[in-house]
Amino acid sequence: MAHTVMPSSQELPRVTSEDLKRARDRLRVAQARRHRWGKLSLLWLLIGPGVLVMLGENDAPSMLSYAATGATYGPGFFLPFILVTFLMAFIVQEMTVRLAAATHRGHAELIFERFGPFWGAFALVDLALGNLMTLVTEFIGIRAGLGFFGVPPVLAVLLALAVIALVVLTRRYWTWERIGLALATFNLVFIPVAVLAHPDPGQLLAAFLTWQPVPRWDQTTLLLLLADIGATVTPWMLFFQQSASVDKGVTGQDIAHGRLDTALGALLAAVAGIATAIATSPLFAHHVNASSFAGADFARALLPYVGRVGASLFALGIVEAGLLAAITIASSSAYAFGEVTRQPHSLNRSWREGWPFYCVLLVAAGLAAAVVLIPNAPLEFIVLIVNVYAVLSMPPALVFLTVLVNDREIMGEQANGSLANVLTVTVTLLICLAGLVYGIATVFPGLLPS
Amino acid sequence: MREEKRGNKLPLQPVTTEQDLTWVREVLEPDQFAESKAPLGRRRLGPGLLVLLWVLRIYVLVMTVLIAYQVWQALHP
Repeated sequence: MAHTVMPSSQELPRVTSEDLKRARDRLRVAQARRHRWGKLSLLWLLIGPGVLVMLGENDAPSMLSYAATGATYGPGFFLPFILVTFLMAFIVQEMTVRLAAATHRGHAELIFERFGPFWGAFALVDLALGNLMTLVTEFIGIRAGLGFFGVPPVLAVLLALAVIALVVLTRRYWTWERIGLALATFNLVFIPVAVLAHPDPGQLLAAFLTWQPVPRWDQTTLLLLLADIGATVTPWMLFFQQSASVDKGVTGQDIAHGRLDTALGALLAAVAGIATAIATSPLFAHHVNASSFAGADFARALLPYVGRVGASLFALGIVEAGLLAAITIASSSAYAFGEVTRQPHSLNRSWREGWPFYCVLLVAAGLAAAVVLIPNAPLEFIVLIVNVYAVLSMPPALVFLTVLVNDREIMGEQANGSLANVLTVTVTLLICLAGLVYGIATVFPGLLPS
Repeated sequence: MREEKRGNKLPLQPVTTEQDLTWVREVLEPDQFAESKAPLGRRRLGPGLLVLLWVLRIYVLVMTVLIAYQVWQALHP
């Protein structure tokens, strides 16, 4: 009965099954607001998109970037740097919460409506290309992580696809979100691995306070800097968080909780990222060359330093990172497709009503999974390039975002203030600069020591 | 807000009649209904913004070529 589209009188909005489910969720929020002890309950009801997007972005290639950073440089400059990148991510993602609450439209939908299909198509192509490449890397991570436990590649990929399908086909946003959050908590398994690596607390404190030692300025450092920025600020995150917030039913009243959700996600993701860099620092201390390591290689190399339990947790963390990211990234593709083609695009839809949405989601995941199983495919290059591509395609996405969030016609009083604009422009310039330096270093490799 | 007023009165149960749907309409904001969103219309893109969008588009294309070049170099050392 809940899936039936109910008839409505002409002057009133038509109520779909999606609306019904969303209304039920909103009702619980309203009840929590009125309850004397409802603050915690309200937080529980309203967290979701922010935590999911931040821990979703702590995906397989991101965790490998952090692992490579720790193995190459040990505790030092990169630890506080990771924290700063998540501060950048918070500044950017917070704007999507306000956009969702003020317009009740997804990011792709808003770009198409306000900028027209010409510019909208560019934004969508950037998203589709970036998402496909990133999805491939998630399955590489899942394959490598499960490979540590002896699971064959085909079985690993099929298992991951089955989990994605099961989670997505719950046909209820709330259930999907809660399963995603439960999965996301496994991102924190890198913390016990870091503890098992027995880092020197004094050295860690010094790294955070002084940003020392600063690494030598060469191509490896540049690539890791870019990869770490790419590990935290990417276009799919904008599309995902805005669309998921709309699907959740976030309104103007929920913006403070949306900020809290995003801040909590950023903090948890930063802690997990820093823990990963600390976990692999024994490889730096023992001069292990990790420059060509993939997912399971780190886990295997860490065995003598963190033991079987630590190495297994590391491998499990990579699997979780890949799985959660595959779910969220594929969802962002499906949301964008539905918004642009005006097809139903909600995780509250039944399969019958929302089959194009679900098909895009599952086909995107299936396609990426298939690429991973192609013999001799240059997977290592995709992993290497994906975060860098994310950094490069971010400036146009940030311009769309900044223009939209300053558009008082649609944002009203939720439009950006001066401080938010200064912060946004600073982040945009930093990312553009990082991309330009990368481009120059690629064309003129002699400028930097290798 | 309307949803707050209704908050502790309404049961969470399946909706079966047109009359019951009124609470849904009271809980959700008008633009939250999937099939009744009014189009926002296009904003005017000034020359400055258009130039910026084109510059960034060219930037992405050039950088994408650079990435492809680097991958090609790595594959054919």
